[in-house]
Amino acid sequence: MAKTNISKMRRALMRSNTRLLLSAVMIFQAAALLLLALEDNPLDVQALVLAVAVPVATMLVSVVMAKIWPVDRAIVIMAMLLCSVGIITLQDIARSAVTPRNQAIYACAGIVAMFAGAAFIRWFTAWKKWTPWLMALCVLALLTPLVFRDNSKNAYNWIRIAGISIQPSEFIKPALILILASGLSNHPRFLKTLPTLGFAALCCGILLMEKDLGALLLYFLTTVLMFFVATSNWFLTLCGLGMGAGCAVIAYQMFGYVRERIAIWQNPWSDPLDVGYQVVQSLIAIGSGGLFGTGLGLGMPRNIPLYHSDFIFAAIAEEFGLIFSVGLLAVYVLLIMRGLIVSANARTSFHSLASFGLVAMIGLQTMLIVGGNTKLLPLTGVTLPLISSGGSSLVSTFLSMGILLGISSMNAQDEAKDIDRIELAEEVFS
Amino acid sequence: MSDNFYELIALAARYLFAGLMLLIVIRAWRITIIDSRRAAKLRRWAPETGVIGEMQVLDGDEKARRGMVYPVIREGMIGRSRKSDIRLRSHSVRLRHAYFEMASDGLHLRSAGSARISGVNGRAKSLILSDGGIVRVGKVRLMLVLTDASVAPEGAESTASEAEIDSLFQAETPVQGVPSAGPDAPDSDVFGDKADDILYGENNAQEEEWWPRG
Repeated sequence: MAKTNISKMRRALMRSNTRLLLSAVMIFQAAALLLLALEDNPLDVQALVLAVAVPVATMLVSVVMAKIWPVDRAIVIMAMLLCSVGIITLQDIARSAVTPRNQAIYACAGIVAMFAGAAFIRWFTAWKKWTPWLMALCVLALLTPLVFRDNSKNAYNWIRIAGISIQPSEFIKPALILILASGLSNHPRFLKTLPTLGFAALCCGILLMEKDLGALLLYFLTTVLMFFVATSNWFLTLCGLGMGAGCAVIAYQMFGYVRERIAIWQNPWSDPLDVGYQVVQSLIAIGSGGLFGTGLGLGMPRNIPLYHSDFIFAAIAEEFGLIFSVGLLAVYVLLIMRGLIVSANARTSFHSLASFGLVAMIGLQTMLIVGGNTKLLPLTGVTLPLISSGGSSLVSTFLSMGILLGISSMNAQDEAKDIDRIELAEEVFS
Repeated sequence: MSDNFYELIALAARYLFAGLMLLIVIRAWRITIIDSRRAAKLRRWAPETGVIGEMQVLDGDEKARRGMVYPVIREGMIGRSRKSDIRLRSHSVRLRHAYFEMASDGLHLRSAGSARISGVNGRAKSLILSDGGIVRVGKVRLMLVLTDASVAPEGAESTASEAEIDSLFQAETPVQGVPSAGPDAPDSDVFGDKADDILYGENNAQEEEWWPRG
C-alpha cells in the first residue's frame, strides 16, 4: 500500500512530455525561415543559416537546461518560440539584413543571461542583506542616462557603452522586482514597507525626469500589484492607485505630449498623416491581415513607422493573420499562467513574490503594447517582450525568464525531497 | 525563384503557420491542465510539503495538547486561525500570533503586534530558534525539531532537560519531578501503538489531517 502511494506521487511529480510541443515549435521555425530563404532570387544565405540554427538552438537550450536543473520545460520552449517569432519577423521585414542578425546575437546573449539568472536565484539566499546595495546600484544605474546622454536616440533614457546602445531602465526591471520581493516578503507591517515603496517612488521619479513614460507606468503598476499580493490590503492599494491616477491627471495638465497622445488615441484620424500616422497605419495593417494573413513576405508592413520595435505586433498580424496573432497572445497568457503556478508553489514568500512580479511585469508590458497597437490604450513606449527588436529588452526579459525558471527548479527539487522523506517515514514506521 | 511561384507557396504556407500555432497553443494548454491535475493528486497525498522540521508541544493548553506535533514549513504563521501554518487551538494564542521564517542561522520568530512570545531569556519581540530550541507562544510551550540539523550552529543543544524529552516518550506522566525512565522501563516501546498516540495525539483523527498516515 505504501509503495503504490509513493510511486503514484513520483509519477505525479514528473511533468508532462513536452516533445510534441518542441517538435511543433521547431517545425514552425524551420518552415518559416526556409520560406524566407526562398524569397530572394539567389537563396538568402542568412535565412538558410537561421533556418538550421534557430530550431537546433531551441532544442539544445530546452534539453540542456532541463538536464542541469529540473526546470519547467514548457516555459523554456515558449520563451524560445517567442524569441524566434521575433527573429523570423525581422528577417522578413527589416530593411537591412543586419537587424535580424543583431537580434540573433542578442538572443544568444539572452540565452546566456537566462542560464545566469537561473543559477543566480538558486544561489541568492541572503536577499535581505543584499537589498540596500542593490537599491543603491539601481538608483545609480537609472541616473546614468542623465549624465552620459546617448545623443543618437530621441528619448533620454539610453547610454552608449563601447558602441552599443543600452537602456538601463530595462535591466533595472528584474532588479526592482527582486528588491520589492525582498522588502515585501513575510508579512511586513506597513511602516516596514515604506523604505521599499520609497525606493520604487524614487525610481519612478527618475524615469519621469527621463521622460520614459512607458517604463514609468510599468514600474508603478507592478509595484502596486506586488504590494497588494504581499499584504492583501485593499485600502492601501486603492490609495496607491488613486495617487497614481492623480499624478496622471497632473501630467496630463502639465505636459503637452501627454495631451497629444491621448487626443490621438481617441481619434487618430483627426491627423492621419502626421501625428496619428503610426496608429492609423497599424490599424490598417492589422485589418488587411484577415484571418490567415497576407502571407510571409507579401504584406506591406514597412509603411508602419517603428514596425520593428513598437509596432511589431501589427506587422505580425498583417503577415501571419489574426489566428496566428491571437495564438501568439495565447502563448503569452500560457507563459503567465505557468509563471503563476510557479509562484503559487514557491516555498518562501520572497520567491513567490519575485516570480509573481516578473510574470506580472511581462503581462503588463504585453497588454500595454498590444493595446497601443490596436488603439485599445494610448501608445506607450514599451516593447513587446522577447519579440521586439532591441538588445536591452531581449536580454533583460531572458534574464527574468531565467529567474522564473530557477524558482521553478527549486520547487521541483523540494517536491522530490518531500516525497523522499515521506517514503523514508513510511519505511521506518510501517 | 519566380515571384508567382513564391507567392503561391507563401499563400499556402499561411495555413501551415496558423495550424502550427493552434497546435502549439492547444498542446501547451493540455500540458498545463495535466500538470495541474497531477499536482492536485500530489497535494492530496502529501498536503504539507516543504517541511523542514516539526514543533512538539511540551506544555499544552486547551486543545493544543502535550505531545502533539506540528510540521514546520520554511515560512509561515503561528496562530489560532484556520489560515495559520501552525494552528494552536488555545485561546491564549491570538488569531495571528507570530510569523516565522527559516534563515541560515535558524528559525526567526517574530510576534505580530503585541502578542506574547518568550524564549530562553524571557519575553521577546523576535527570537531565533535552532534545533531543539524552546519557545513559549501564549500559554503553549513548543520545542523545535529540525529534520536537517545542519542548519543548527555548532554546539547548539536543546534547552529542554533530559527528563522532559524522555517524558515525551512515556505514557501519561506529567513533566514535573519525573525521574528519567532508564533502560529497564518495561513499556517504553518508542515505535509501538502507545507512543504513536502520544506522539501524534489522539485527537488527530478527528481534527484536520495534516499528516496523512497510511
